[in-house]
Amino acid sequence: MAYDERYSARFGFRLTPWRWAMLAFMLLFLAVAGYRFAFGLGPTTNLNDEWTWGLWKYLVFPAVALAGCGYGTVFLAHVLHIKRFYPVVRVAMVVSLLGYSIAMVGLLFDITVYYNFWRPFVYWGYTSILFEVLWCMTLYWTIQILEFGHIAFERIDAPLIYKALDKAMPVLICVGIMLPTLHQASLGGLFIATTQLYPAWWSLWIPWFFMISSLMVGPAVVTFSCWALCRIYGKRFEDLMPSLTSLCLVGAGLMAFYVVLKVWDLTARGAWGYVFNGTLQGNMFLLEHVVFLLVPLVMFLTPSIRNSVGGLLTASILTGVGVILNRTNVMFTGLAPAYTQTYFPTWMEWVGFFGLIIGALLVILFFVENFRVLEGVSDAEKVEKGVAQTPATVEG
Amino acid sequence: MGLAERTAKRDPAELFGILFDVNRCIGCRACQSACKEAHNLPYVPQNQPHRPRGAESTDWNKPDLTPYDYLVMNAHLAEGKDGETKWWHVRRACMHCVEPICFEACFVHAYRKTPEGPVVYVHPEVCTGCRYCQLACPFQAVTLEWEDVFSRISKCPMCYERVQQGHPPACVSACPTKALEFGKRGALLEKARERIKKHPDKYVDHIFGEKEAGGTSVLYIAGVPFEKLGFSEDIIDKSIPKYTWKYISKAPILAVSLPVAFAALYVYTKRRAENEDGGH
Repeated sequence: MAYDERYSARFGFRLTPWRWAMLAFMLLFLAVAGYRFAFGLGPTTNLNDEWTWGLWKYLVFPAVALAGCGYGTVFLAHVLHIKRFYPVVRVAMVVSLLGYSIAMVGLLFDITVYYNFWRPFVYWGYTSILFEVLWCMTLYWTIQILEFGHIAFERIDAPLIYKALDKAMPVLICVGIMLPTLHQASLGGLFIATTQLYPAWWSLWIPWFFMISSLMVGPAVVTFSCWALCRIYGKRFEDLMPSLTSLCLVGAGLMAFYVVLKVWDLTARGAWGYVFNGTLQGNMFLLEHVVFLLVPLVMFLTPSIRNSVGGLLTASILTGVGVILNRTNVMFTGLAPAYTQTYFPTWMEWVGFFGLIIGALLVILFFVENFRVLEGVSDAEKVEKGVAQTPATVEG
Repeated sequence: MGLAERTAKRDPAELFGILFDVNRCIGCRACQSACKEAHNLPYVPQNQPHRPRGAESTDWNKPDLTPYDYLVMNAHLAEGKDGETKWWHVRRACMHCVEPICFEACFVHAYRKTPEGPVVYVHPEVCTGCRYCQLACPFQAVTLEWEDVFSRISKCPMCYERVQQGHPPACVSACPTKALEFGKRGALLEKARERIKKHPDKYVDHIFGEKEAGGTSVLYIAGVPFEKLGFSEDIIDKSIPKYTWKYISKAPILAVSLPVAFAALYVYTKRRAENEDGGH
């Protein structure tokens, strides 16, 4: 496959029927984007004065939360220098970069006066939590692009730039982990101000819940991404299992901490009544925390499930869905009781939503096919045929 | 706007405010038309088949605030304290919080909490349209001009130019029954308390806005519980900016201390990893 011919062939992107379909959808996306930028949010969306943050703003929250796979894994691999995590760290970084790209482009779509996007950097509204979110996200996005540059310039022949990036990497990494730590918390902090949020979710600790949940979902996202990429490129996922099981154990530890913190928070605020009152909000809270948090936590902690490909993958998907559900609940389910008006996105909002995601997927595929992202895995076919081949791991 | 104005300690009692006595209101809507006139806002009928966004109220008795209505009158049928069931008319507009969250939440300083009291959306030219102020407002009193391409916020400025000179806002001047009164917040609270004390049979013992969201400059008294007048019971009594500031003021400490800690770990673990490899 093209993937293995990275250094002999030119940059390439093989177009399968699926990819053609995705590109066709991107054309529709561009048309909607043009309409939105020409005519504004009023005709494009179904937003109203109560549901003022709709589908596009919402996209930022799960995208950035799942992109939390980047900083957690980079911390383990490049700050703590744990070699076991080296094989998966590049996948984590690329997925994270694209998650942030979705968020940044999505935000530009969502703000009504988009030509003023630079103003917050100049007008210094330091009292706003959104101010911190924007600064940190923009800086971290830039850093992630530079970090990816370190990967890209392994292939692109420009030794001076590569050396400069190589020198800068330790600084980029240390600053680049502080920034998401701050803004993952601040994304939750945004909801301190929305005191109308359902009390099961509204808490002064919501920043820390957002931060820990973005960290704990990281291993799950890395596992799923690695599995999907191995499937697409016919690689042996089993080669990555040692890295991923250890990573998921770290994630499980964070999940357990999250559960303890959540129980403590609900008890301290006396909010258990809001969980077991049988309302939609209470039930969604239970669904989120039992099916999509406690169940995968137990699965990760059970060695036989954790060490099997199916078990690890299922638990990872459950965790990922759980965090997406959490953000959905905070933004929609939890706010619904406070509002009298209703909101359902228009088809154009959906096209924008899926267009951003599909665009990011295409870029991830391009990166993986052309740069050294998916490392340390052998070809599935060769192993099955019994051809002796040692996986080219960084370890060893 | 200078930092001095932003950080100035203000005596809430000295801020200008409005007292609305629901018992005195006859629902003539003179305040509403005076508001439209003062701010040059267009007339958009409620019963238009293609109503612009924000005017889509399903209940004609309870229109929502829109970019062309800084102030609306809502009517609620409820049983009063005196046992009489009747229509109560309630003025809905920005509450002009003593510590406004819209102002705190804005990351470009488009809002101003003026020294006189009114909360004014004063710099629409720098607004990015992120709509965080709308999301954060506990009274949902901030609206957006959805029909525009580059939509801006619109909200009641409490006729700031008039208030600045000590004159009452247009709605207060127009009120024929003194249901709306203008003055210093402290004096208005005193007046409200006195009225409740004098007529305990006619007024519920609750001044809406005295404590809600840390106190507002627009105060309400009524002869019927406020839940029955479309006011939320769940609005917290604490100032919301105090909560957000408590969080955000910690960020700079983390921003400095975390990279230092990471750098220390980086150097330490790198050495260790190199030593394990056999070292130099």
